Amino acid sequence: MRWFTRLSLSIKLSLLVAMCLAAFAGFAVKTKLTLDHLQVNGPVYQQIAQGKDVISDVLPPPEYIVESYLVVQLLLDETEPMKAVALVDRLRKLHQEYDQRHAVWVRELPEGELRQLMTVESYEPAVEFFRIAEGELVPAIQAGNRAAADAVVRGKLAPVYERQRAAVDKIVALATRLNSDNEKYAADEASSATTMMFVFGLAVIAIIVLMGWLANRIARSLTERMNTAVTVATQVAAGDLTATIASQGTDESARLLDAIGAMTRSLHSLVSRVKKSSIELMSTASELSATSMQQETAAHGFGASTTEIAAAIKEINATSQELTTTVDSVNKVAAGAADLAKIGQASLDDMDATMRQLGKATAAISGKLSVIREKAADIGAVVTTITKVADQTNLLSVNAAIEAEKAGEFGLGFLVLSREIRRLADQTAVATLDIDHMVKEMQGAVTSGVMEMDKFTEQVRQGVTSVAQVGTQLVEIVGQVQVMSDRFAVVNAGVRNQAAGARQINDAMINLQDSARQTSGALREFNSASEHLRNAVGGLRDEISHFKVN
Amino acid sequence: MLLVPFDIDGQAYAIPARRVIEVVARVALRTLPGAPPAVLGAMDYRGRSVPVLDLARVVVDRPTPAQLSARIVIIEVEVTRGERVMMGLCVVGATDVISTDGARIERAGVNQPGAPYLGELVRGLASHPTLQLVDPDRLLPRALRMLFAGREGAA
Repeated sequence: MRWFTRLSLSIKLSLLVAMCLAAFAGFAVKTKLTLDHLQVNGPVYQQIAQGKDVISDVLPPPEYIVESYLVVQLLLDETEPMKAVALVDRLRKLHQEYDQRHAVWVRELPEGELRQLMTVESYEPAVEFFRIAEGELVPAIQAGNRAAADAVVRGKLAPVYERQRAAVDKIVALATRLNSDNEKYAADEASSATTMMFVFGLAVIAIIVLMGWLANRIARSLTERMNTAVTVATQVAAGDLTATIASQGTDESARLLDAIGAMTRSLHSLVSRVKKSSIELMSTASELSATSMQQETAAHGFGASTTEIAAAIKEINATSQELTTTVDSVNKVAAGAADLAKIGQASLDDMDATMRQLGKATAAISGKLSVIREKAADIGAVVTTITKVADQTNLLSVNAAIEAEKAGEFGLGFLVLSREIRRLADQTAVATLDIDHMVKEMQGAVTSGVMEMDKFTEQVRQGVTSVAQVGTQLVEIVGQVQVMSDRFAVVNAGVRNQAAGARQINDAMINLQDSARQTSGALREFNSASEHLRNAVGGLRDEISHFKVN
Repeated sequence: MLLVPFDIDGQAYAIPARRVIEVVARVALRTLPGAPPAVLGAMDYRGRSVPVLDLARVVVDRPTPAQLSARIVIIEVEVTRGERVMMGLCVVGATDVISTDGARIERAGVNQPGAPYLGELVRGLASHPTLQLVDPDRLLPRALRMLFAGREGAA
């Protein structure tokens, strides 16, 4: 197959088309020959028809009752009884054959004129013939009545045979006509099929030629684009990235060309960027080298600074320890203040209870004073009553004296009595006056006492309120002192944390000093590494300059 | 002689006990509309309506103070010749009866046409150094005598 791979694409496609054309032509010729061989009235058909004609010419036809008629004639002339029995058997066998054959035709023939002739017109006389032959002729022969048999044959069977004969003639004429029609139809069909085949073959040949032309076009366009791609790829391989490919279509080869173009463009931009980047990298490497040198100097300075910071941190540590001590002492003082405030609060609670008891006692005294005032009022009422009684007594004694005076000498004793009564009444009145005075004084005293008690109660109430306020304030003070104590604890913790932090910072500073020393060494190594980097970038730039870009 | 003393404007006066029917308490009076200010009203005395005179009004033209010792002295006076009517005198300090035994009864020495009712003075009593006697029959002014007479006549 080496020779095939050497051929160009165009020649390969042309070969393919030619092979197709040859194969189709061979197929067409073979088909034509086979058709001619097998067609109606062709050689095969003629042989089959000849076979059928031979059979039909040799054999007596079962549908045509000519042999049965012959047997009837023979039976009429036969004189030997043995042979006559054999002939009757022959007749019965012929009847059976007729029935079998007729059943085949009834089953197979299509509806039409031929079926009508076969099943009705030729069938009815045959059936009539067999009925007469077996029903009338055979009994007459067996009875030996030759005259009756002869009359049956001549009178009945001969006309029936003639009717069947006429029907058979009609059938033959019709079958012959139908056969010739069929042959003509088959010849026409074969002729039109041959014509169609010729036209179809021409069309196929035309299509194959068109395919050949298209294949040639496809091969040509493919070759052109391949050549372009080859040119561009060769340029890229040489390092020329300036080649461009214009888009020419949307099929696979065009997309391949587009992809090659895109690849070239992206390669172009990549190489451009690499070139630019290598230049930038070069300057960066130089800067890096300079910066690392500066950093080395700075690391030295940094080491010195960390030493100073460590000293400052030590001072902070000492100060924070002093602060912790001070805060502790302040906290103790605050706790003492809180205890004192609590004691004061307890005393105030006692005082509050006492004040409340005092208030209750003054209220009780006020109540009792009110009772005394009411009693004094009662005494006043009694005194008034006594006074009224004394007055009445006085009045009575006065009138008694008057009546005694009027009575003259007889009233003298009565006069003395009335005077004594009057004197008693007067004394009573004076005593009641004194009592009244005393009661009034007592009432005044009680009233002022009640007022004083009221005032005192009010003062006690104010005292209780004040004590309650002082208690509330003490509670607030205790609360604030406790809060302060908590805050002091927070401050203390904070200061301790600070001290710990300062120690940690100190340790960190020592570590930092070591790190600065290490950094200094590392920077020296970094410096040499950046020098290597610069050299490497220079090599890269030289390599990149082989590529040709705009 | 027995006297019933009383006070008018701080001065001691007295009526002979024989002229007094009864001394009663200062009861509530029924006012008499249209009567002169000296007539306080009318009181019920043992089933009879008796006019009550404010003696302080008649003597010093001032009302009797409303004291607890105010009492009504029931007397009978002659308003016209032969006609005597019962009347009450509202006074204060009528809480005693005094006998004139051991006392001197003197004339006042001054005739007072504005006060015809003033009688002799009783002097030398232990309880009252000077006691002015009052004549009930001359106590009423003429206008009041006519008023009471008419009332009595109408009754």
